[in-house]
Amino acid sequence: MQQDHKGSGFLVRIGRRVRRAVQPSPAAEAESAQVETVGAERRSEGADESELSTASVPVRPGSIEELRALRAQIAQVQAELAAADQERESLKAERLHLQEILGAQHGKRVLPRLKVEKTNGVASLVAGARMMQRVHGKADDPVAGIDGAGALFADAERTTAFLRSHGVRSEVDPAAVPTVVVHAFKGRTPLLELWAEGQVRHLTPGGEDPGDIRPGVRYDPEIPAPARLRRLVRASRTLSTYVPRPYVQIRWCEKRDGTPVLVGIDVNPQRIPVLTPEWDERLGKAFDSGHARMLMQPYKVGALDNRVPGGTFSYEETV
Amino acid sequence: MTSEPTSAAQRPSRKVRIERARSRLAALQERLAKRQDGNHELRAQIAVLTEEAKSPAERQATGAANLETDPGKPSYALSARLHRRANTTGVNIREGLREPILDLYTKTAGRAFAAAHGVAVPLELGRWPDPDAVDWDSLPDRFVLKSSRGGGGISVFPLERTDEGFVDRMVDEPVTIQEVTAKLWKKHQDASVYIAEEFLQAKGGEPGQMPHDIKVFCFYGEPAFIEVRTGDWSRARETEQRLRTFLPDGTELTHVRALISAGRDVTAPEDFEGVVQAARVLSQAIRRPIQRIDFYETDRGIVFGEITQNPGRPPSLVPEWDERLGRAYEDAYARLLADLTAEGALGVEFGDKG
Repeated sequence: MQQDHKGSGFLVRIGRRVRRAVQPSPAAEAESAQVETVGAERRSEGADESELSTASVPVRPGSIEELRALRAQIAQVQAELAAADQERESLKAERLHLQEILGAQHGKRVLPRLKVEKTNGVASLVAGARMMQRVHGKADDPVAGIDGAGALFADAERTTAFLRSHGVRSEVDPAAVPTVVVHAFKGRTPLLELWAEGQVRHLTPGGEDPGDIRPGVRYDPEIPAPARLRRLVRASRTLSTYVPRPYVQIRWCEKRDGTPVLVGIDVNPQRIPVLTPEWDERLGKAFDSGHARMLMQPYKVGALDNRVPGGTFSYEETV
Repeated sequence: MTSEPTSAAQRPSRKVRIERARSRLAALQERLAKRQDGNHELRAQIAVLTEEAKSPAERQATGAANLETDPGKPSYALSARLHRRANTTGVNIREGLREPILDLYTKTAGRAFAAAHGVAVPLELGRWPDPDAVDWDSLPDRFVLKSSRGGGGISVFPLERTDEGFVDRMVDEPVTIQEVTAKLWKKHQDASVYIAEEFLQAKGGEPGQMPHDIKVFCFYGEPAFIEVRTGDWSRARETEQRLRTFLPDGTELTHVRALISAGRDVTAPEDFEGVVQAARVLSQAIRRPIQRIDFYETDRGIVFGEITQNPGRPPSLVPEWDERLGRAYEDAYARLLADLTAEGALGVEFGDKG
């Protein structure tokens, strides 16, 4: 896909270099093995101070051959040291370059190494949503998820009951092809995607088109907005509020008269949009706040309280 | 200067030359080993920085052809920062969430929590409402005076009485009562209280020898990564931080948290099992997938230090370990969600409009 290559050429090159460096080449391994052989010789020498033996050339202790062998080893280690020195300079240059890239990201010329860990990172829809999917994927039934939401919303009857319980009157048709996907974060719906013939257009809940924000999918500005956008957004907000996931996709199609029909609430979407960095961060912030709202459900009933034997921990400061 | 030709008689004997050659070879081999280790560290740093330079979406990708369907891979850094952002950028506050782990933030509360679980805590020698109220005369020759609030050792003073006053053992400099009091007032918060604790002594150490910090990165009941650190105090700016890294079974890892210097002078814990057991008990009682719990190893065993919900610097690890700890985090989160679901505290909520 297109975004695989956008702006990441340098990082790909660096990545290759790092992989090469971290996983030594066969030549480097051979060299390393050679060093070990020298080391083994030294160790065998340590076992018997008067003896320096190699597998191929037996050397008489104290002989000129021993001296020559030692000198040869010295020359070899010197060569290795020179190569290591050269590598060091090259690695330091590479490290500095990366620190400059990070510096630019943080408004500095160079980001000091010890400052790297101080960052809060950048919120990300893709990173957050995939993390939570993997967590729920550890359930006995990965599709259902740990909270069972996936199983519930796979059942049209229970899904309809869920809608009705929250006063949403829309029909439910799991067999329909969705044309609108609402990206919903526990009651917030910052972005909708509209599909037509394999092309996509995005809208904010207010109906504004942010343009071509999804590099991997073809953008079509002509795809019409849903006829009843506000109703669809309102229903999506309501429904997502009561699903214990920071992020869900609520899929809709429209009848000919524009009435929205719910196709499904997807708590484990296979496709998560890879948007421009600005939009990934914007939806990432929505994920972060959705994550906090998800925790409100157990928090309100005291289920997150710290435990001590026999109950929950409470502490009052006294002097 | 020109050197005169050396006669055969003046030339060192072959035996001497062999000895010299051996010494030279040994010195060179040592230098080479150090340089190779240094290059290993540099490669590890480059690996860390390469990941840090990526966007989160790129960083979590597995390399699948289609990024939109790529299931991604775990990352400790990305997960730890999610929790850190939630606490430090006001996300939780805006949503009305005050994570109960924050109740363990003060040293006094953390200690009470540890003690409730049977984990040894430092002996308290006195407690006062403000720095002026400290009863200095009642304290022994060695003690630690600290505020209940504040991180990074900024309001912690390990003190040793001298004829002239005290020595601050964190920076090994003389200090007066007035100076300590002024420094404590500078960071005073309304809810702060001041406590004097026994001066913990490193196991098998000399009197006054502070133990290293043992920092255990825990994931809801699973200690996964142990760091032993020294020099990691805000007040000791001239002191370089050094650390050694271990797995719970005592296996040492090198160049994993590569951006911080490894410390050859840092002592490994002797009682890994004790550290792990105490960390496991406390971590399991904190309903959060991630936390750091600190201990000290002393002659009277493993002693509790503090609980940290958001380390000031969540470790940046080389990719292999970032992923391994990321997996530990995700396993922990799954266990926590399973517990919450089983208790009926988490689930799809039906309304009553039927």
